[in-house]
Amino acid sequence: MSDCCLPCVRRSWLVGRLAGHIEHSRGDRAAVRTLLALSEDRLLAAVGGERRDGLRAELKALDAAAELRRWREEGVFTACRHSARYPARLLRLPDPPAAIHVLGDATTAAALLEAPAVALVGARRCSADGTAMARRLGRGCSAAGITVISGMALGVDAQAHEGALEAGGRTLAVLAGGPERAYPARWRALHGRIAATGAVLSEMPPGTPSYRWGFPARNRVIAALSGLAVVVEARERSGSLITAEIAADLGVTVGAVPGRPGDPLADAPNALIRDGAVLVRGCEDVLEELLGVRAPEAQATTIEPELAEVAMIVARGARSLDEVAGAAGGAPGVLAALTRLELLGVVERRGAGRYLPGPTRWTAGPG
Amino acid sequence: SPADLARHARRLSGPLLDRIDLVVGVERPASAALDGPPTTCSADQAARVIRAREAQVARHGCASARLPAGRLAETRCSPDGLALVRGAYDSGALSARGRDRALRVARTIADLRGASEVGPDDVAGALAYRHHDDGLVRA
Repeated sequence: MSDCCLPCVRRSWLVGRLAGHIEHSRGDRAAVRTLLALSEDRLLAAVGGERRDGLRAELKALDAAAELRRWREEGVFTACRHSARYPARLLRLPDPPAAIHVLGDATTAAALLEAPAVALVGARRCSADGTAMARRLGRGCSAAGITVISGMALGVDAQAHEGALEAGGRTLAVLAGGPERAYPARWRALHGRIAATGAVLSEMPPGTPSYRWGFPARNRVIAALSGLAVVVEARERSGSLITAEIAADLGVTVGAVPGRPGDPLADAPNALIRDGAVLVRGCEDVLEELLGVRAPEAQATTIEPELAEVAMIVARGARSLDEVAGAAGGAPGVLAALTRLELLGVVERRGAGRYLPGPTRWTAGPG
Repeated sequence: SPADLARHARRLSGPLLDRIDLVVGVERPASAALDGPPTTCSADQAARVIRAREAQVARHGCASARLPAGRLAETRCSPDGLALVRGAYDSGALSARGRDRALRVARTIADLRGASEVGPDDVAGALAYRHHDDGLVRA
């Protein structure tokens, strides 16, 4: 099942073996990518430190065929860049991984890697709006046959995967450590579900822990695999911006979900839009960019003027029941109006008494 | 933090949550609201509750919370109100037990305002206090 030549097995093994050494070489991001492009000997010399001779001996003694079988026993298949199973999109990187390790069904993974793909990335500590948007984008794109790629981090990443799982599970998680290791550990169940209906992929061989340097390195894989990289919510100088930057360097279109000016989580996406990123307001914008189709505008639901007033208050940013009631002038029946709007899908309730705009497009009826 | 809250919420078992009638979000009041005179007092509220309870005992022989599922027709819910409950149940947002609970809570809301019939607004209020985090409608 695996399709990896033995030199690439050795190379991939070495990168995994040296992961801790690379971490302690204290290189910046650019330095890490330079390291990854080095030959085995030079890589050993650069980060092996005092143990480089021992490590060199270990590499020499490595039984590559047995190592490949060991990976396979972890449920992981491996494809090297000399294989037809290797995702062609990764070859546009100046420093493509020697091999990729995939947890999941090989046929499914191949289909996901060939289909149009969107990367949905963003803040770990995102807002409720970001959560809802990531989930909706994940769901809509997966349903439309687009592969949803993300990094399984807390916040936006996990929601994007969850949304995709709700709509058929066309989703690909790219991890910084070995693909069989659920990182963060909190997502063990999510990791299992993604592997069951989609695939989990990593440059690192099974058994490699997640190191800090692995995340920007992982982000370059996410960027290269996608046809559109969308930043949902992110603060200034966030890791998501690294993904966007690498994407732009590779000629991958960058998209961003606009945010409210002044909201720190809107800083990165709004700056990207200013710099020419594609505006992403919903799945339709992703579909248009990736598939070149403009979905027919959904018929707007007509709602009574009294309900429309409350819907508008929520759309303008009132979130708690008290805020909505206050903005409605303390009108009675606000709670009832919110529940009716919820049934129509015009607003969504999150937790007790928190309201967000929902997916249904609406227009006020005559009153 | 939100993550801590989510972890705590996961520890509460479904069967336990299913026995809670009302979930109400409480925001920190604005300081201006604390400076002003109170809008209501506990004694008035207590009197309202006692009146509502008496109305229920007079009607059902017990508080509506104790009304068995087979006697829920006695809550005298208006057709509009029933349509709302049906919509919520059909969309999958309410379990059968949640549906019964919504009818009982709506009855109580109606009694608190002194109404003999449960109107759609009472039902909508009861639905807004249900505890499931997932929305009424899945897009």
